Amino acid sequence: MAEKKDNGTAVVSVAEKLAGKYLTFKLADEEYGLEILKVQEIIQMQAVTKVPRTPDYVRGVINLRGKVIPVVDLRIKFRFSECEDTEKTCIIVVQVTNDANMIIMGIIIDEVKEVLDIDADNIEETPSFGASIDTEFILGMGKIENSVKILLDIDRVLSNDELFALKETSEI
Amino acid sequence: MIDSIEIIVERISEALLLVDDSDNKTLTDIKNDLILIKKSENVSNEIISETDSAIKLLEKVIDKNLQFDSCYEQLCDLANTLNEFVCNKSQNKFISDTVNEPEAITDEFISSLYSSIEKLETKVLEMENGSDEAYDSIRRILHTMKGEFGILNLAVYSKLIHEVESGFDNNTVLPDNLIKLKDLIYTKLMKCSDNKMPPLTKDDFDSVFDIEEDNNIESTQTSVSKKDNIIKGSINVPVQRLDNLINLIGEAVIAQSMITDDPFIRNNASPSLLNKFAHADLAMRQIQEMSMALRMVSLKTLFHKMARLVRDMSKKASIKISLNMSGEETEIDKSAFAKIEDPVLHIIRNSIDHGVESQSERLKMGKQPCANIVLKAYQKAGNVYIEITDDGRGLDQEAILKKAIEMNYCKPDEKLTDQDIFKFIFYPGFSTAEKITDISGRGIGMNIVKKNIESLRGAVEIKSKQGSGTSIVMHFPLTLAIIDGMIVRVKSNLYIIPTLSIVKTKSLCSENTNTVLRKGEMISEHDTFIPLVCLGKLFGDENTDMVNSVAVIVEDNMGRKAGLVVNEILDKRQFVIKSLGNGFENMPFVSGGAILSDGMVSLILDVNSILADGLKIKLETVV
Repeated sequence: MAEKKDNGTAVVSVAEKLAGKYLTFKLADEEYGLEILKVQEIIQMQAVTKVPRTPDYVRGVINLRGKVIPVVDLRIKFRFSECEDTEKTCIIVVQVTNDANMIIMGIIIDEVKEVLDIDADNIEETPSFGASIDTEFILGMGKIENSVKILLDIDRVLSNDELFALKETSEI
Repeated sequence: MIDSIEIIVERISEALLLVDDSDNKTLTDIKNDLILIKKSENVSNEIISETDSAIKLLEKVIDKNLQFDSCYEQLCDLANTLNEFVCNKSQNKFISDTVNEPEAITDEFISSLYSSIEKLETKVLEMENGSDEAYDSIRRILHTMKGEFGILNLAVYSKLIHEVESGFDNNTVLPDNLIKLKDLIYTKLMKCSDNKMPPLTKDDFDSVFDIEEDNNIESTQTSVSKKDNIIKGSINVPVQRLDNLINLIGEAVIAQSMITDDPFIRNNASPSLLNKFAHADLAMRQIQEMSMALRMVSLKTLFHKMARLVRDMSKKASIKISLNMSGEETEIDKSAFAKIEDPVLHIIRNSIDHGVESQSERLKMGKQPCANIVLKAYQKAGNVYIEITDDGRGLDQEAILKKAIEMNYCKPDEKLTDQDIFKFIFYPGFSTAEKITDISGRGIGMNIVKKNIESLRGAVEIKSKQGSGTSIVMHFPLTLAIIDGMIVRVKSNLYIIPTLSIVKTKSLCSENTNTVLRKGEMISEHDTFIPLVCLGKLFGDENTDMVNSVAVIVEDNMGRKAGLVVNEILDKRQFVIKSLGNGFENMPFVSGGAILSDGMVSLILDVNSILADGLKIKLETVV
């Protein structure tokens, strides 16, 4: 998303582009939003098979009705503290586009909230935190009443090169 | 009058293209149609008199007093005149070889023409081997082809075939010409695009009648890969749809087994319910087997191509070779078909180029002057076997060994069995041939054989006796979707090791394990030591204990052995291979996944990469 930070009109058009339906979920204490069109389904947490030599945030693979898909632990991906899976923990199955390839994968999140219709007026651009926080996979901020939903660009979050970057042999 | 004159004329034109002199019914039909024309109104006197004489000729043919071919020209002329007449009269467009634009050709046309030329080639080869029946078949095939071109108004093509036909009848067209005709039409078919046949040039036309030897071999070779476009089964189904169906059936099978294996059902179900489950299971398994069979194709086209290859090459090398083939009806997976085509081709080429001796040499050795190559395919125990045997000079162990030492693949003092020595011929660039010919000698062919067969999870065996011949047996599993595996436990994780790479299993105890530099563990097996790879450690868990473990001794495709240390061996059965999904294809150590009966995914281990990498890591930690 090429945003021109200094240009007010450009920001408005970006917000307009972002307006739409979002699936919101909880991760640690924050709430995030996923474009609804990227979401295929939500499934219960289930036993995950570990795959050797994958980054730590790749929890492993699961059987989605006969199809094997990778699942990513979003907490670890965002470097939050790890926590035990609870009853509310679930997997959102998303369709990620990467170099024109569509990959189906699951993301493990703490709790699914609701589907929200966020209009352009309620979408703000991501504030810049300088180099300390990487915001390039955030589309923008959605304001709903008093809370803020962080709208994720899931394609960027789960970009292929990073996701499947294999651990170097020396790390073992 | 029942039919209008236009329809009658059209019918005659078509009938003329298809008719055979033995086909009295069609001949009578033509005659009756001609009579109808004669009686119809508005026809010129000229046509009436031509029709009259044609009817008389036809009567003679029907009574077997006249060869149909001798009046064929005249009938065609008449048909043309009639066509022109009809066209002029109604200003309508009708079939006429000279006037009309060629029609768009359809896929059905291509596949029927393709099968015609394949049949033609087979029959020509049969005729060369002295079959009388083949002679008539060839005539019939040519005639059908002419008809097919005729229907689509491809006038030049039908004229070409007509010429060939007449030449064939009076013996000016030799089998070589027919083979060339096949090649020409084959290349034209390959080139056809936008549903249009490429035009036939004068050169093309003449090339068929040209007896001068040209290089057919190259042309057949280059067209190998394109062939798949044209092989058509009886029903055309998009591959994607078929694969989706097969996937869905796979899902259904897993879902089914998850239900039947559910502990609740196991413990609480009444016997009658279990019976019903068993029934559903059986049906499900049959459906799955059927779905696998959908992807199967027979080896027929491959065999035919090899017959042709042997013919061309034996002519070129002026060696008399008889090729015996059996099992062309053997079916293999369509994706496997593409992979075995090249290996078979290379092995047969090698046989002819290096294996079989010249006629005089053979006589000197006390062999039959005609060399024999046997191409055999069959199924055995879930595997497909393809055997190629020749009775030529066999592999020269000494030369191979000498070359292997020269290329540093082994040491001069190494003790090797015959099998070990033969394996060197699979190494890339390995060739004992002194000179490189255009057919072989670069040392690439056998490497391709090994690579392709291994990618099908199969193996190649060589049996050879110097002086009396070589036999190469390739075998690979019937389906690519199922793997035989042993399921093992490493800590709490379950992995599948392909049975194909397992040599044996051995339990570990302090007596049979040794360490090198306190780190590299080995197991003694007979007189050799086999390095151990601890799967737990390899997969990132340092606290893995070797005590009370089992070593699964595996061998990779380079012949290296290692023992994979696992906690427990659980089961051995077949697994349906699942891809781990996009992006996960090139994971180290893992070649895919399989879904166990409880719905969990288990990873199928890739022995080659574990040995390549696992042993390397070990060395690093040792140093």
